[in-house]
Amino acid sequence: MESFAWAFALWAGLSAATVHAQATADLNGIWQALGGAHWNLEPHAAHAGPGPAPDALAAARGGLGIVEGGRIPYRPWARLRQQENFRNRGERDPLRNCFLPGVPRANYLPYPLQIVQTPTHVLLAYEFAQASRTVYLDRPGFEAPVDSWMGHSRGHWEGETLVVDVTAQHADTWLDEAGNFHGAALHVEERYTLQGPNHLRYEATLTDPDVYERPWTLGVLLYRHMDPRAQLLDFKCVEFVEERMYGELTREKPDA
Amino acid sequence: MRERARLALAVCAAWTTSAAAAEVPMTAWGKPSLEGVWTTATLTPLERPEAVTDARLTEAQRAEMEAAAERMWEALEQPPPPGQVGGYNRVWLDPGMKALPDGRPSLVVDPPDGRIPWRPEALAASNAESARYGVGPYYSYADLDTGERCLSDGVTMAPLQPYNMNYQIFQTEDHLAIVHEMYHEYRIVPLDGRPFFPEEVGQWLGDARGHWEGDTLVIVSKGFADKSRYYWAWPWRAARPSLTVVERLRRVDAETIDYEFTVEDPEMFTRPWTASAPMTTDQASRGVTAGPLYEFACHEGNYALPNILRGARLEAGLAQARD
Repeated sequence: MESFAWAFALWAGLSAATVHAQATADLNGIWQALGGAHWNLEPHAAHAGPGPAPDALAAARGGLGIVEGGRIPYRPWARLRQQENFRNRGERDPLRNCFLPGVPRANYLPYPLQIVQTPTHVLLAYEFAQASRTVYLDRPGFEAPVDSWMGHSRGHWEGETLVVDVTAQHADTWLDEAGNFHGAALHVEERYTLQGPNHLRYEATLTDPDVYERPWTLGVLLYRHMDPRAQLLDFKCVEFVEERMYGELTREKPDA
Repeated sequence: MRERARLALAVCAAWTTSAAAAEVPMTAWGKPSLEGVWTTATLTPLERPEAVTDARLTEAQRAEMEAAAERMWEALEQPPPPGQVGGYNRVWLDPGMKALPDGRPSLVVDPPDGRIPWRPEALAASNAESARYGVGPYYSYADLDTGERCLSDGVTMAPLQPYNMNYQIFQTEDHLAIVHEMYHEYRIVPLDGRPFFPEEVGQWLGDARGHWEGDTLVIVSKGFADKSRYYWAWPWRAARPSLTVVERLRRVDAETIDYEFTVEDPEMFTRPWTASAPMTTDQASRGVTAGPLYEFACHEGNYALPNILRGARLEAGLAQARD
């Protein structure tokens, strides 16, 4: 009887350890957010795009907002900065120069992302600017070697939720096209939870005491691309912005 | 559920695998694992230098190559001569410092002479492009090569650059993902037999499809975008519709993938040619920094490109003032 109890306890312990360490959900696939978060995380009406004579396709779609509680709890100076960013978004938004989008912005761009999940790693590959990041599931003590645009991601499974800790991001990325932003101290905790086979709930809690009064959370649904042909395609946008970035330094080539 | 089934399979496999097979890590679904952080970096050149006629380099010759590389590496510590701004230093560079131990004089294994079988007119065009490197003239950003523009150096994992020759491979039953440290390019290769895209959907690194031939993963890439009007540091790698690249990856032990690529382009070459560039997880054995891939945010920090154009404008202004 005693030995049976011992064996049972061992079995239960092993099972618990296995469940904790191994993926219980399969997130592989191509995903994309819908809705207006890309233009502004906070609730907003549709509005004209930046620049002196914007066209209809440059305009922002409206959005119900994806911030828990509605508004980002900025410190007062930071709200003023965001408003200034908004007014100057045509020049200042780093994405207009095809810069890497950072986290969480990369996850709700109007471009797809692909998840390639293995027992030890999750690759998040983004169509925009061929950005990607590797989530290390097997190296909890692996600190970021340097700061980067896409940050340093370590993850683990909590039940059926993939939890990812994102640290060491540059302060230069934005959170959306409306100039919502963060500072160098940003820490993001992400949670990826399947809601049925074809919907992925994405939540991110942002902590940055320099910029926000308190940690805050955003949540958005990612939809699976169902077209069996779906693949990420090139969006190597460097090529599309060189004239914008370097045009004033170029000259006509004289006829040979 | 599928993950749980895979785990159970893996546990069973671990109990039954023989010692010999254990040298090649296997996936839970019974294919050789290609996962890991790999480098192809080496001193062994792509093409056999014309002066070298030996079929195999001796140990002494390899030691001499490596010593010469060490001397160049030491020289990088010296400040540039007066009046010169200098170039990348040892903080930036991370070159392969070892010749491949089998002593081959080139990575090209076919044709047997170790040389790329160029058509004469294509070779002349390639040499003309190479001669512009670092010289100009620089009227536009398009006068810099695709690497200097932080776009791409083209497909394959050929070890040609003096840094970032690292690759991370992720593998599932139906996809292989390869992240290239250089320019943070990635390729996600479907293994499910789906058809290629319509060729109008030209891609910088081609449209890649993979399949297993025994223990070898074969990746066929075609459907390249036409970027032949751009200036490429290695014109044979330029994205162009006439190109087909076939890569073969076979894991031979815990540390090594036999990596081969075959380049076909009847407009550029008289025949297809093949190079072999073994990939290792033991980065230190090639003399490169051991560790994970770092983010290479090339474009975000590309001060060189606008400064080269600024320099060219300044030079032109000075020349005009002199006239």
